[in-house]
Amino acid sequence: MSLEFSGTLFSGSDWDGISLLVGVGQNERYSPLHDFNLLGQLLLRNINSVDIVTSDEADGNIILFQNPQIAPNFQDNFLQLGADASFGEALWNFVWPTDSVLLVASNRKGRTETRISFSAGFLNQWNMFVDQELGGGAAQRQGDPTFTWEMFPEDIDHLDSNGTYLKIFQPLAISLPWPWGEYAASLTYHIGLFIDSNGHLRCWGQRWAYWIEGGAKTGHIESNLKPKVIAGLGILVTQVNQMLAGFDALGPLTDVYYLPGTQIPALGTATLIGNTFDDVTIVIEH
Amino acid sequence: MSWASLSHLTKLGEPKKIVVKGPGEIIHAARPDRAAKIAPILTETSSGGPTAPHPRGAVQFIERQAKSTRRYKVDPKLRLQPWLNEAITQSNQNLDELVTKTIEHLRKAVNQQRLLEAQGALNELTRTPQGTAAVRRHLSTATMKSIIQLSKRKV
Repeated sequence: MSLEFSGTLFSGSDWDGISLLVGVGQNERYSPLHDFNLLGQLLLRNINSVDIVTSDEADGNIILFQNPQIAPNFQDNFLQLGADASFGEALWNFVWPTDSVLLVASNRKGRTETRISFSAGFLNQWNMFVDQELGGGAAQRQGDPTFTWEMFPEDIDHLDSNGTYLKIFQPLAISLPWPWGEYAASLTYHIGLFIDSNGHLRCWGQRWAYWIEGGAKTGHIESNLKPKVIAGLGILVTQVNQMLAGFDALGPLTDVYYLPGTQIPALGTATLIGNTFDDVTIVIEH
Repeated sequence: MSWASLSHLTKLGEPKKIVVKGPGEIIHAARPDRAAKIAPILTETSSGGPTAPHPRGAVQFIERQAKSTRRYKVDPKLRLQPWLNEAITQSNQNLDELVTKTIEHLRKAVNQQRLLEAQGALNELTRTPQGTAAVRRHLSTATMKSIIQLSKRKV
């Protein structure tokens, strides 16, 4: 059993203080460290330097997440430290209060990667889908959706804690006749991507959800919105699978995984600062 | 009410402090028009699960992915391992000796079990700055690389 890469998280600057040796093993992809893992090691909001040691097996990425607002693990602002395969030891010093950490092995030896932006690739399709399924009624899209992810979720109903999901959040405005005014609402879908037995990239629908502002008309709005949201999950999956069929031309695929933000060329040995609510990069391995 | 009334909750926050020094370029990802963006809220009125059974391939993929995800866990039986107790005794409270013996134990046969044992033992020592310093003295880049090379051989 080999290692894809290893790393160390240090509480002190200049690789000092208390520390935690971490890594991703051969044929592994992710190693998540939730806030409770970091707290248990006295490293919650207490990591100030990191090293990564890579072999020729894969690029190593250690991604540190910072949540200015309360958000689940592995979301919001992120600092991604990347080291090329065979770089050796890469060292970083930083000031970045860290709430959770995700290790990701990328660019694995002997594999090719095709990367696509979740938001750029799906925005037009999503807007058409929402307008078709909700259009004609009182509900309208309120601005662009958020294309993001939900990684190794804890305590979210209908999501597996071992799962990695793409999440779409769409604010809505519900216009009602006078005197009821406008109600705010939102809909959220979680879908998952997988490689099927033919080596093709496909998706499944995992979860639907909605929120409606509280008021005298909430029940009425819900009675109209709820069946559309539930039915929409299956329709969305069908439409996404039609889009994903376009990647069948890549030949048999071996894996699909996600990176935060937009990272279309591989990061290599560098640092990336971004936000998970801006985009997700879907990486198709073949 | 409109979403504008919730902007204090849905406005995307900027990172608290960004100071970073490391190899290569430091890239700030291009950001879409943040003023217009409504960040997701966590509150939900209702939610539900899949509206159709998972495709068979999805079930297999989920299982495979679970196996390829490394969770950080410390084996509570680590402290009972004979090699570790022997190393603790022989090192005579010398941190450098204990780190060296742990690495020697790993190098004898680099497999999944020994990697996890070595990781657990070293992480126990690095709960202090002195332990971190001792590990850094002996677990050099060259040592890590040789361990990785050894791990590629079938044991």
